[in-house]
Amino acid sequence: MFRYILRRLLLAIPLLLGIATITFFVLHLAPGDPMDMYLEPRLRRQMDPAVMELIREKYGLDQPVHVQYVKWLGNLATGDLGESFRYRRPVADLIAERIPYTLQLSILALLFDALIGIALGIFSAVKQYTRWDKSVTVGSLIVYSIPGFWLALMLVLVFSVNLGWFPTSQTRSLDYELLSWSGKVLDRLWHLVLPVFVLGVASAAGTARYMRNRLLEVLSEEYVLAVRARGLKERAVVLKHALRNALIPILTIYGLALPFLLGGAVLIEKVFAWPGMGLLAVEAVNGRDYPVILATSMIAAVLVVLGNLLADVGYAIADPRVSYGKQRPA
Amino acid sequence: MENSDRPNRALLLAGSLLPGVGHLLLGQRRRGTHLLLLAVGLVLVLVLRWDAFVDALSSPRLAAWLSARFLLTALAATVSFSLYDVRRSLASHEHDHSGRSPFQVARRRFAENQLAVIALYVILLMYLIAALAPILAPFDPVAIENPTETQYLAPSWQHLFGTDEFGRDLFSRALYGASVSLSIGLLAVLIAITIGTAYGAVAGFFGGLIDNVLMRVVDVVIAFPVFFLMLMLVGIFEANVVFLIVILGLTSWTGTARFIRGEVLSIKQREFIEGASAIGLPSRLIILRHIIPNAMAPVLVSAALMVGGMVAAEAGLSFLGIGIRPPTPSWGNMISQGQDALLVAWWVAFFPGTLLAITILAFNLLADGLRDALDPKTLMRKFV
Repeated sequence: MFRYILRRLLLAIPLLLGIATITFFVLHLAPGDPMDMYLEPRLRRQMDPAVMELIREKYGLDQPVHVQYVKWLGNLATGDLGESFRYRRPVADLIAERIPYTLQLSILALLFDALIGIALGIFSAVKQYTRWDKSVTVGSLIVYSIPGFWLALMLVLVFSVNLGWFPTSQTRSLDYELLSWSGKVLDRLWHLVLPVFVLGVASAAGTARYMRNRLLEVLSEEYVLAVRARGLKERAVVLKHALRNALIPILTIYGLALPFLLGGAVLIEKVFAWPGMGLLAVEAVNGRDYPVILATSMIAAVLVVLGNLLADVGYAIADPRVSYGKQRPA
Repeated sequence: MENSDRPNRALLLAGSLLPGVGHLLLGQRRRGTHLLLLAVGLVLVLVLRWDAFVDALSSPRLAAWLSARFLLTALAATVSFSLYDVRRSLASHEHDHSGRSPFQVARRRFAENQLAVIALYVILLMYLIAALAPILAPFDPVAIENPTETQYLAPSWQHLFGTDEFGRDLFSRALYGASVSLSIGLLAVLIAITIGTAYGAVAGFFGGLIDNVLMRVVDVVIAFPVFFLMLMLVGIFEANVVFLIVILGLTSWTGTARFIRGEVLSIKQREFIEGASAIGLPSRLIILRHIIPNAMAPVLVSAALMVGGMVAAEAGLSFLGIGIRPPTPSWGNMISQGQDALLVAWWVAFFPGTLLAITILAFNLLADGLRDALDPKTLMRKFV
């Protein structure tokens, strides 16, 4: 088991290296000089060219691309992500500030997705071809098709603007500091309801559909027939015997869903002014903050690779048929 | 059946006067109603929006110019198709269609799926409306006239979707937005599918080292959070519409490449491919003529899914202020505008988002229907 994880970790390295390389060179293909973004051209004209050269040197922009690339990779390997042009602060600090917010949102959304999605999928499969099943299947497809950021706006309109049940945006209230300990927790949770719901509901719909089909497939297998023949209650057949086997591939789906979740988080963070990594990335792209763009893309990629790894390891633990020695196609 | 010329002539005449009537008289109710509806719809557009049509005919703007020509072509095509089809059914009246091609089987099975058929009609209607946007739109989508009087008007008969902060008619903007959003979706998918198919076919066909290298590249690109990649590319290159399409296409081909490769690997084992290479057909031709056509069914399904995804991606990027930039309307940037106006004018965000959701839903339903129709396994599964 340990060797399997180690092996997968080693395999992730060339993957990340590839991603880093693509990101780096794509950014360098971009038109314009990064210096334009560092300083307004108006200011640059007044400035002493020697100072400009110093700044260039400081960021290593005076060197040829391949040298910059190697240096950047070296820094990356030691955890040095450079300094933001816009905030004039180390990128690592910025990201360390922002990433908890994104993780909070994504992990809770994932939990919501798992609970609701799997429950609905089981329900739908057990009631196959009934009215309930049809409404779950069609309903989940509808929910799945609604763009999250628009759904978020509409929910804000109804529940925040009109009904006033939830806050419209931000992570906490203005009087947050004055609240008691439990009040603080509640305040945080209160602000999390809408963003988590919107982020989780679409993927929950996807999970429900997938879960339904998987469970139906498993239920038609022979060992289920055998269990039924032994006279077990339907409840036990489904929940004890079939469900376990149907759940296994869901793990992989979660691994693969991660990029979409992160992508969705970008939009949701924008709607709710949620100071996560997605919002940081959007600001960086808009402000041409190259070190931050590079870093956020890399972090997102690492999260995705890590997610896939976790899913695969989970798969290997859950399904004894997977042998650790052989490499499974990801 | 007795071969008399008279009813045939009458049918053809009726058919040429109004498409679909010929089919209705022949008893082909479904096709007849469709053609009739299409023709009546197009004529209605022509009559009701005659002034706009005349303007568009000689308009210096490409979209309007094209749209007027499209309307005429569509009318002509409807009439001539209906004539041709009536004539064909008359000619083949005596033949019995007992044999069915796989395509016909798939089509029949698709037609049984009501939701998918409705979705297909919705999509076709959306594209028709998008193509005719310059003629259908009652107001100019971009020009700002006197915003103080027309700012944030609620939906009414004059402004079906209301007006925005500059007093522009949102219905007109949504129509133009449809043409932007929908064409981006379709073209980007065409690019992605083309690249993915070629890439996957080459990898699967040649195998070995080539396959290994190509697929490792795919692993890297797939591991990338696609939306971040799009965000980065579109943002730093300050993409215009064409570039946006190219970027969306270039970042989304990997899924297609993967399963085309899988399909190719399994098709390659079959005997007819062995036969083709035994008679000395060059591999280029084997791939193009034999392998790709046989792998096309799942590509079609994923293409339908991808169009929905692309439309959503474009909307998302434009919502972030990175994709299509105002004043050019796209559903995404209209919703973004609606976020700022959420407290005063809910309709600004509501209508474009609804259209967006309907479009994506229709493509998802279409993909579902296609999958069921094209996959021989699902038919079996139903009875297990």
